Amino acid sequence: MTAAARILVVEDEMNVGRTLTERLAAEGYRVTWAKTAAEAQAFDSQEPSALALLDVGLPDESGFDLAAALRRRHPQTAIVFVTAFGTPEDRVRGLELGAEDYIVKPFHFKELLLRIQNALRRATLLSQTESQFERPLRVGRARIDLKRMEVQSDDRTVMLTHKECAVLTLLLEKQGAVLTRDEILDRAWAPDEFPTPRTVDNFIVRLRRMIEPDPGEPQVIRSVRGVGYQLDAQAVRDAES
Amino acid sequence: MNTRSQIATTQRGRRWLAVGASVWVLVLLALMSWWGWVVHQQSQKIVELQRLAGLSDSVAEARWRGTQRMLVWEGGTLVVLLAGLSIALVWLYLRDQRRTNSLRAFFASVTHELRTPLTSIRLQAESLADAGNGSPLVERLLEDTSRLEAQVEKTLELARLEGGGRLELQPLPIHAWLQHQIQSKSAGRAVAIELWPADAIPGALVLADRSALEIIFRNLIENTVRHSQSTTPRARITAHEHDAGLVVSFADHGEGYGGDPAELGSLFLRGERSRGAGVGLYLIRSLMHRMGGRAEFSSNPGSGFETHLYFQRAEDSQ
Repeated sequence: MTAAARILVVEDEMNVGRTLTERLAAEGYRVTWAKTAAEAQAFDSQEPSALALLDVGLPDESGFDLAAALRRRHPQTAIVFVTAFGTPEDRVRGLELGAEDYIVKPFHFKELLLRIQNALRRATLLSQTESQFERPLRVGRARIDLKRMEVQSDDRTVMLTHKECAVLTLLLEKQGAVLTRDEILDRAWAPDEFPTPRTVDNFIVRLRRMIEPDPGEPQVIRSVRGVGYQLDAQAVRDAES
Repeated sequence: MNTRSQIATTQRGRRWLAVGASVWVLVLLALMSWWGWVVHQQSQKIVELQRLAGLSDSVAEARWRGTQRMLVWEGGTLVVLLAGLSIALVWLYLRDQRRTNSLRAFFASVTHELRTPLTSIRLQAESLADAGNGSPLVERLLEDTSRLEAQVEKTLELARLEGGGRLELQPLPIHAWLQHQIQSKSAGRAVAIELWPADAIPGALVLADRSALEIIFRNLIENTVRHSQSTTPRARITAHEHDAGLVVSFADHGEGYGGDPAELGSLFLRGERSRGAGVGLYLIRSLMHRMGGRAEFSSNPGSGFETHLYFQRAEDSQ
């Protein structure tokens, strides 16, 4: 599945863009190379990509703005930044925009390939599991549309990242059951991302802010001390009902 | 502490600085007013005393007016000087801010300009190597690219840290991370590294910034290769618990350092025969300090070099 995935490379440096395109094509991916954000938008409107490799310093627009636009149009597209801007502030900004990964130049091609495979594997798994939840759901105080990867609560709409979606989908699949932190980690993270149980806790805090009536006293996603988390099945219902 | 909270802390610091400066100006104004009032009172008393001593009213009045003129001039001069000093300080501060911002913009641009061609060189050299070109020229090209990358990274990281750059601390399983670095990075393959067994300290989580840790690891490997007397450099990484933290020790079998060990970690300190810029150990020390830990170095000439990295442990979740 991932071998035939379509990858959009957005890179304004000719040598880097050309070599990346050739090497990814040699790995079996269908690669489209855009040199500007406008070109990337045009390609994306023709056919959505499974993954977009974005440079941040593009000539016509910031890669961050482009990422937000691509995600709005096709939330399923996995975004991976490949950029020379490597400060923690840049990294945080990229990941908060919903990027799957943030790779700082210069990089080893094999490492890039591994990160692409991880992101595509997660996106594929997500599209398979999401199909169980075609219709929007009401969970706690939020309306969740997993197809569109968005959460509406208090008249605010928030785009979910792929990882948030993966965690939420797993909780919905196993609603009522207690999930260990390791089970959650296995679903949403690759081992070489070095996630820890604390990583899961941080994600749960973010999800609780979106869906709990009172995030300080969580009743929808309950903590099970020393084990993990449990989604209250009573708090989940069809959004249209 | 994550980046956002660090930024918030800095903003809070600036607010407190502004409050402190305002309080200082108010105190200064209050002191000036008090001084003016005291001198005014004293001069009135002097005039009263002069009257009592038998001076005529007109002479006392003239002296009183003279004292008042002196007060106005002295007070005015003081106010003008203080105002001038304050304006000069504000101007110097703003100029310094502008320079710092320009320097940051310059380094951001240099970062991009240096990293992008390096990416291109590496990508193409790796393509040649992966295409089965076993030429030693390709190997040398990759080796020199790595060295150039390391130098560029060190220089940029040094500039970033000196400019107040922040780190993003997060819990990291240090053993798994080191194992990944050794297996997947060419730097790890340049040296035969013996790593402590994972079950010796199970689930050891430290608080670290991954990019900073990568720079530290790369520097240690580079030093091992540079100072090794063997064609196959070797190193050993061990760990032990220390107070509430974890100490990771990296020991090589190189030529060691012949100078005063207390100097190790100073900026621009170079060994007698070293080709380095004297930045590596300083960066290790600074980065460990920024991560809430510390680095210690020890060496005996001829028997190798040891770096002890003291990490804070990250709390396990329950």
